[in-house]
Amino acid sequence: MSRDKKDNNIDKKAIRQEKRENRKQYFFVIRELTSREIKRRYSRSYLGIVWSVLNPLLMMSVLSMIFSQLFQRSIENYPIYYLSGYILWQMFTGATNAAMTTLVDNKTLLIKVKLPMEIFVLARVYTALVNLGYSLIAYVIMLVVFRVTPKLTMLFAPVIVLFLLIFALGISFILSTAYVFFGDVKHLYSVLLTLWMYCSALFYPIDSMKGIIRQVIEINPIFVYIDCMRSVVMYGVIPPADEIARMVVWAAVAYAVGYAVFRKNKNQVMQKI
Amino acid sequence: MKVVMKRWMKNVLAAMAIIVSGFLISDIHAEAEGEISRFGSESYEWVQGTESPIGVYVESDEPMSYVDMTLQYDPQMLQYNSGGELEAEGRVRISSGAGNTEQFSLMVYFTPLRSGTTQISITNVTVQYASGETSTATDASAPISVPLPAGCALSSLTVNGQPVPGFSPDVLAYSVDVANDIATANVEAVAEDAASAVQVSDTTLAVGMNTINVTVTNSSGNQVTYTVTVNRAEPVTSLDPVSEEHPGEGEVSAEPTVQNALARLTRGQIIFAVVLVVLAIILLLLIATLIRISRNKKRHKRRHTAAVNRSRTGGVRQPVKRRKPVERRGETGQAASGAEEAEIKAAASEKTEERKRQVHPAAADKPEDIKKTEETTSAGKETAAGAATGKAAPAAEKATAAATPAATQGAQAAPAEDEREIEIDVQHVTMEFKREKDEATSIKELLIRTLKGQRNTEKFKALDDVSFTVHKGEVVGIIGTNGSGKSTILKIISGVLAPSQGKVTVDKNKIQLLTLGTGFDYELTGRENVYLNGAVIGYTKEFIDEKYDDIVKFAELEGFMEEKVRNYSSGMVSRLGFAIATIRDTPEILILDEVLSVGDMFFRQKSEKKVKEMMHGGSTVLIVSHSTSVIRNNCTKVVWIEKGHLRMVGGPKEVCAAYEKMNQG
Repeated sequence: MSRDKKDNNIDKKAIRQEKRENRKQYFFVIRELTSREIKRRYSRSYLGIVWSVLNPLLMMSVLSMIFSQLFQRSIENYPIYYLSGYILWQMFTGATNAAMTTLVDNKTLLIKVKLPMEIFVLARVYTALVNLGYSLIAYVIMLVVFRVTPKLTMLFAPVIVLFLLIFALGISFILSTAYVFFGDVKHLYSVLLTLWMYCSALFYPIDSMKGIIRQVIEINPIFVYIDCMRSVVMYGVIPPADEIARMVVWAAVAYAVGYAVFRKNKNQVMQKI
Repeated sequence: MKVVMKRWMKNVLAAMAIIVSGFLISDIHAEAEGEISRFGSESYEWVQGTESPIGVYVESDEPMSYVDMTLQYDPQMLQYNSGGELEAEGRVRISSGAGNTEQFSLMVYFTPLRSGTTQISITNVTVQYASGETSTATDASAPISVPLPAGCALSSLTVNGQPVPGFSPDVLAYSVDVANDIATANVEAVAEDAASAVQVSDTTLAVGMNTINVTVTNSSGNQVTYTVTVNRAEPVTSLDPVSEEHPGEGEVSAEPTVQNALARLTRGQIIFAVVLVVLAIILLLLIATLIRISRNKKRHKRRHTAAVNRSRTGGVRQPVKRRKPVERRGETGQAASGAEEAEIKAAASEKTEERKRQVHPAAADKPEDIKKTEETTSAGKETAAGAATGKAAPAAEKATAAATPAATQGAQAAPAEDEREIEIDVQHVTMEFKREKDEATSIKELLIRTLKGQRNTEKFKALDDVSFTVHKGEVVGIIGTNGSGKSTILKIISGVLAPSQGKVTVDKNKIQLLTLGTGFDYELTGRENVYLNGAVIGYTKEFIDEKYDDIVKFAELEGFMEEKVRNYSSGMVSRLGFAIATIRDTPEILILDEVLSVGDMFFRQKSEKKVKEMMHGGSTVLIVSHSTSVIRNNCTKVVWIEKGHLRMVGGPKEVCAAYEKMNQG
């Protein structure tokens, strides 16, 4: 009996060691896959990665041109208001859209290599995070240009991004699984995303909305993240406790549900592919 | 055909044009027929305290005999003087004969009381024609602005210490948002002229919109009113009913808010709500479908397990139980059960038949039996060594159940193998794919099928009860025609797929699956692909850094590595793939999936040499191929799988011969 236990202990240690090595290897794979995604996306363009910086800037200037007149009274610093929301929104859509098709795209890899399936989803979401990193360059430049004074509360921003990332990961798990079985998901989701965007108060002030829409917007998880980001960066206020709680709960629920769905369907996905 | 199409298109276009123009014409016509009421000018600018005229017109294309209408104005801003008859404060009735003209006009006089902007509108216009028929005309309204008299302007206006956004002395209306916790607005207004008096209306705030008037009166008695609309935010925690109750509002407000909410529903919101409802319905349907599917699956599973149990009770005991007697025998050295006795018998008879290498014709039909006997041999001999008894025993025991002459005749095992450990143990592996007959590829289709109950699934067995073992150091070839399940068994062995029945015992960490160009990305350069592919097949970064030059050298791609793989020839791609895959130290179990036919002749020799090296390094090798020559040259044992069934296990010569024979026949 005792020998068994000892063996078990040794086994456990070995397993732990092995797991650590595996994890390191998986990180390496994720990094390689991510760098592939990024290189690939810009492989035929001259500006390459600069687009990641340029895109939010251009979007910002276009929308500011049109809407800053409209919301002059209710939003004091429209470009920053918009940009804060836009980069987060971009990360979310980038992550979920890319992750949705990842299992199908990497079919051959999945079949021939014994890597955990999660890695492919993780790699796509991580790609979106890296992209956000580049967009942040644009964001910081704009913060300086529009003279937003640095505030201590800005340190809270990475936490918001982290929760958004977990939320996006959960949604990605669900979408990627669903996409294996139904190609329709892609089209449905793109419609849903448009609706979602308009309900996220990306480019209009939330106060201008009344009634049901307002409630929908306030329930909308993405809006919670965007709103937190704005209050942290623009107004120098730590968001109220209930907003933080909602942020955490959304992330946790999305991740838990997503991962459960993903795991449950793992074998079916393998067979289907 | 094209001409016909074009003519057809033309017809459609013409029809569309006619319809559109018809609409346009009818539209214009409709407008021309209506009666119009209007003011003399688009807008008016009056001076405070001075009587000013405004012209009211009604036009029609038929002569009118009588006109009746109501003018509405803001009695706070304007004072009615003359022109019609005053019905009430803010409403002037005008009814007059029109003298059978097509245009009716009338002057009405007002005096502005204070500056600001307001409007006058014409409503309820009724026209009587000479014929006695009556008709109504459109409503109209005109804005009236009264500029600020001297001294009435404000120089600053603040709410709660913050200047109202966009303040300018000429603009009289502002809106401000405040948080929910502010119950009273602190409005401070400073007039430009110190002699003017400033008066601020009630500043208590209810939740929602509040209007605060700031009235400035100058020394000559002229008044200007600035309005500030203060929007007090709704309580943040709507869950907390206490905070919603507000002093001064009480219960009375509850009912109106519901009505207000309904009244405030614009068309846009209704559309929005409809869209939401539709989405919700779609979601519900999806969920319902999923539940149905999973229920079906469960039922299916139950049925399946029941069937399996039945077969087990009728035939072989369960695998867990099977191990016991063997272990006991290892300790006692005695045959403890009838089954084992039979087994030993089988082993003994096998020895006598050992040199009968030929494949018995019947053996092809009972491939499992052959294999089992082989196991029996090893099990019998290995009891003393004991290393692999646990694994070999089940098979041995199974053999006892069917120790038929045919089985014993087909014995194949080479004596040398028996001493080695079993590296891969595949037991009764069955792989079932559930396939829907013409599978639904869209949600819509799936829904329709599910609702109709038409989702008949068809089971497809890629592998049916396949068992074999691979000993350490063996080079085992797996042959079979296309689609016979070779790749499936490899996937199961390497752990990518889980079998639906049976089990595979193997140390998954030792396995190295060698496939070419897995995860090559043609948009990346050669160098980038080495890292990507290396990472995917399990190399660490340090390892690739170290071996990078060797890889390039082996692949003979010096000078091409910074080029995109898109521009490589196919031979170059496979050479690179082979180099990456084989650069590592020889793994303990190597699986080659159609690898040995890569590149030109020279590279093929080189790669075959490399693979031989790896084989002689003591690793266990599994080769999948449908080329018998590769297998004949390299393997020590061959497993033939045909249409999911194990056809034969044995030496390369026999199995290859049989395989070729079958293909010819």
